[in-house]
Amino acid sequence: MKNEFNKTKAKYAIFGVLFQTFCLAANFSVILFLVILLGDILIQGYSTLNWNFLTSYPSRFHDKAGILAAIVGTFYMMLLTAFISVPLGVGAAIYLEEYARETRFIRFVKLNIQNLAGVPSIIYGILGLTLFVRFMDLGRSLLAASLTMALLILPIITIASQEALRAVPQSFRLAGYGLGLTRWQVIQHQVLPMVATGMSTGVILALSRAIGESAPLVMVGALTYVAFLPSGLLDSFGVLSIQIYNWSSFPQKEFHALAASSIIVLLAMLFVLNVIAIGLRMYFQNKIRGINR
Amino acid sequence: MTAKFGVTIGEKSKDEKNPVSIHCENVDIFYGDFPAITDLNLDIEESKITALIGPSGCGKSTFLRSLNRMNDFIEGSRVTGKILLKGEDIYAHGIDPVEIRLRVGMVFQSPNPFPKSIYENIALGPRLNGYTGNLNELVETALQKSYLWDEVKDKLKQNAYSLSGGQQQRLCVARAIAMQPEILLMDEPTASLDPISTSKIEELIVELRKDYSVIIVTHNLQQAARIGDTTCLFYHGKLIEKGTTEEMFNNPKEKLTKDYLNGRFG
Amino acid sequence: MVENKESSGNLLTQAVSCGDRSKVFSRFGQRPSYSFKERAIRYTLRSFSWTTIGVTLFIVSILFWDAIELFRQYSLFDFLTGTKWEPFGESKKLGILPLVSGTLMIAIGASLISLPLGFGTAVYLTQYASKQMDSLMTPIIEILSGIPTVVFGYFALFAVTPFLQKLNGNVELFNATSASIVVGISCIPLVSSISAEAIRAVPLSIRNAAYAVGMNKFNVVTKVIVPSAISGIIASFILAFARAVGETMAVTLAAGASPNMEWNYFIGIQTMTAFIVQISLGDTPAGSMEYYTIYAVGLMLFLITFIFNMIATTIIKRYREIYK
Repeated sequence: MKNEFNKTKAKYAIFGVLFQTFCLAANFSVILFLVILLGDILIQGYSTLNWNFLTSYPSRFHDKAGILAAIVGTFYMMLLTAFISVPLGVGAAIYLEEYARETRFIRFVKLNIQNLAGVPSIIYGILGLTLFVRFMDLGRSLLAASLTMALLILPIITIASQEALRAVPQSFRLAGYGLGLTRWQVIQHQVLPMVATGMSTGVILALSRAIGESAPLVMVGALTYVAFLPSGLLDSFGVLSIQIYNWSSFPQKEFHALAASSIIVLLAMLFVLNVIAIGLRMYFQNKIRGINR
Repeated sequence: MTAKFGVTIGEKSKDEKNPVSIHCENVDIFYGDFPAITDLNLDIEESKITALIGPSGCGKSTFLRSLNRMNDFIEGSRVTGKILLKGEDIYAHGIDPVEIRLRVGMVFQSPNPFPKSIYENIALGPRLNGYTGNLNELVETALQKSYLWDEVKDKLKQNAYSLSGGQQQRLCVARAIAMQPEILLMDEPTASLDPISTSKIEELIVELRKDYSVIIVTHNLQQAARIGDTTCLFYHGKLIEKGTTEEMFNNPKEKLTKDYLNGRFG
Repeated sequence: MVENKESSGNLLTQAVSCGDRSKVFSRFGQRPSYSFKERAIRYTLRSFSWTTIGVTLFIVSILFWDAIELFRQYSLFDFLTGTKWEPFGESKKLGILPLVSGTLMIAIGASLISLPLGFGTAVYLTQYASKQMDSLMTPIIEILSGIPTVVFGYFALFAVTPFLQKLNGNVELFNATSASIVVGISCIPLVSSISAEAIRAVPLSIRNAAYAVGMNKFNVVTKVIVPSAISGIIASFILAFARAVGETMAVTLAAGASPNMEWNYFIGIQTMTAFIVQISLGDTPAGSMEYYTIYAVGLMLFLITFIFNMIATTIIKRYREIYK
C-alpha cells in the first residue's frame, strides 16, 4: 500500500511542478507583453514627440504634421459623450435598481443591456452612420460622433452603476424609509453618496473606452485632414485614434513614427483619466468614512 | 416584584385602560401563498409599552412591519383586513405610506445609522419634512432623551460609525423620536447589544412611554417582563394570548402560554 | 443648553399634542410620494431605462431592413454559401464564407493565446501568488485591458510582422498571424478577470475539505477548485472568443483586405469587421449594392456575437446563483 501511494505521489509531484510553472509563465508573459508593447511604442515614437508636433495641424509633409486638432477633437468628443451618456446611464441604473419591480419586462431590459455591452463597436458605427449621420442629417459632425459613442458606452456605465447600487445593503435604505423619507429622498441623501465611488470609477472607465475606440468613428466620419479646431456641434473634427489609424496606413515610414507619437499622447490622456479616477475614489471614500478627527 | 417563571416583573404604568391607538381587525398577512399572520384581532393602547413575544418565525416581526407599511418592500407581501391608526385605515386605497411612517416610527434590530455625522442623522428627517422649529434644539433634546447627549455633545459632527454598537442604537432611537411619531415600533432593539447597553436602552424605553405608545418585539422573556405593560404571545402567525404583563407571567390562561413561559419550546 | 426633562419631553411631543402635525412639520399632509417632483423623477428615469431597449430596436431593425435590400438583388442562399467575396466591379460575387473564415481564423488564433494564458494567469493569481504579486498584477492587467485596439494594430503591423518575417520569409506584410497574436494578447485580461472571479466564488469550505482529505495542492487546484469554477471559466472563454470575432482595428491594420479561404496564416485575409471598415472608407454611394453589403455583413456579425454572448451570460448567471 505504502509503495503505491509513493509512486502516485511522485507522479503528481512532477505534474504539480509543471502546472505551477505553466501558470507562473502565463502570469509573467502578461508582464512581458505589456513591457514589450509599451517599450516598442516609446522607442518608435519618442523622437518625433515634440512641442511642434503637439501644436500643429495634419499635413502632407511629415515634418510639419501635428495632432493639435486631434487632441482637441478627442477632448471635445469625450466631454460631449459624457454629457449625453452619464445622465442616461446612471439614471437608467437608478430606475432599474431602486424603482422598478422585478417583472419579466424589467428582467428583459436588464438582460438587453448586458447584450448591448457585448455588441462589437463597429455595429454601433453602423447605427450611428444610419441614424445620426444620414437619417437625422447631422452629417459627419462632432454631435453625430458623440451620440454614437454615447450609445456605445451607455451599457458600460449602466452596468457599472447597477453593480454599485446593488452593493448598498437594503438595511441602509430601510432606515431612511422607516423615517418617512420618500423614495427619491432616500436615493438622493443616502444611496447616491454611498455609490459615488463605484459610479465615478465606472464612468471614467467608460470614457477611457470612448476615446480609445476608433471603429465607430471610422464609419461616422472623424476626418483626418482637419486643419482647424471644431467650434460647433455640427463641425467636422478629428480624433487621436483615427489619426493613429490613418498615419499607420500611410506607406511612408516617417508617418509611422508620427503614429507612434500619437499613441504616446493617447496613452498619456488615458493615464490622466485613470489618475483622476483613483483620486475621485479616494475622495468619495474619505467623505463616507468621515475621516475628520 | 414577583418572580414566577424565573422572571422579575418591573414597575408598570398605573393607568388602567387608555384610548386605543392601533386597532387590528381580522388581519391576515401573506408572503406570496405563505400565511405569516392569520386572523389577528388586537387593540394597542396609548402610552403603554406592548411587548410581542413568541418563538422564532411566529410572525411578530411581520406584524410589526405591517404597522408602518414596511412590509411593502417585501416582494409578494399582502395584507388583508383592517389596521386602523387612530381610526384611519392605513392600507386604504390612496393612503401615502410615507405619511404613515411619519406618524409611526421604527427602530430596527441592528443599528443602521446613516453614514453621516451624528447631527445629520437626527436632523435629516425633520429638515426634509419642513421642521418649523429650531433644529439644534430638536437634536439636543432627542439626544438627551436617548441618554446619548453627554457622550456625544462634543462630537456632533463626527461620523456616526465612530460610535459603539450600543451608542449607535441609541442614536437610532434619537433619530426616530426626533420625527415625533405617535407610535414607536421597536424590532428586537437590543438583540445585538451587550448587557450594559441593553439596560440603558430599556431605561430609555420606559422613559419614552410617557410620550409615545411603544410596541416592542423581543425574544427575551426577561425583557418583556421588565418593561412591558401589556404582553402578547404569538405562535405560528396567531395571537395566542394577550394580557397585562403581571397576568401573563403570573397567571397565564392558555396552556400554550404556560408551555412557552416554561421554556418548553421556542 | 436644555433645562430639564419636563420641557424637553414637550418639545418631542409637540407634533402629537398640538393636534395638527403640519404646524410642526410644514411639509406634512402634502402626500410626498405622489408629489409632482417625485413622479417627474420617476417617469424621467423610467424613460432613460427605455432608451436601452430603443438602442437594440434600432440596431436590429436597421440591420435587418437594409440587409433585406441586398437580398432583393442578390440571393440569400448564394450569400450564405458562396466562397468568393468580390463586391467591387461589375460582376459581384457576394459569398460571405471568405469573410467568415477570415474572422474565424483570427478568433481561433487569438483564442489559442488568450485562453491558456488568461486561464493560467487567473489560476496563478488566485492560488499561487503572493499578495504583493497580486497587487502588482492587478494594475498591470487593468492597463493591458485599457489599451486601445488601434494601438495593438500598430504594434502588430510594425513590430510583430517584421519580427515574424525575420523568423520565416514566407510571412507577408499583411498576415493573419500578427493580428491573431495581438488580438489574443488584448483578450487576456478578459479571460483572466472573469476566470479569477469564478475561481474566487468557490467557497473556502470546499477548498479546505479537499486539503483535509490529504490532497496535495496540484490536485486540490486541478481536481476540485477548477472543476467547481469551470462554468465561469468556460463563460470567459466564450466571451473572449466573441470579442475576437468583433475585433476591428487590429485586424484592419494588420490582416489586410484580401478575402480568401485558404486558411494560410502567413498571408493576408479579410474579416467581416475589416470589410465594413474598407467599404466605409471608400466612396460608396448610398443605395448601391455595395452600400447594402455593409448591413448584410453587419447583420451576420451581430447575430454571431449575439449568440455567443447570450450563451456566456446565461452560464455566468447560472453559476452566480449556485454560489450565492
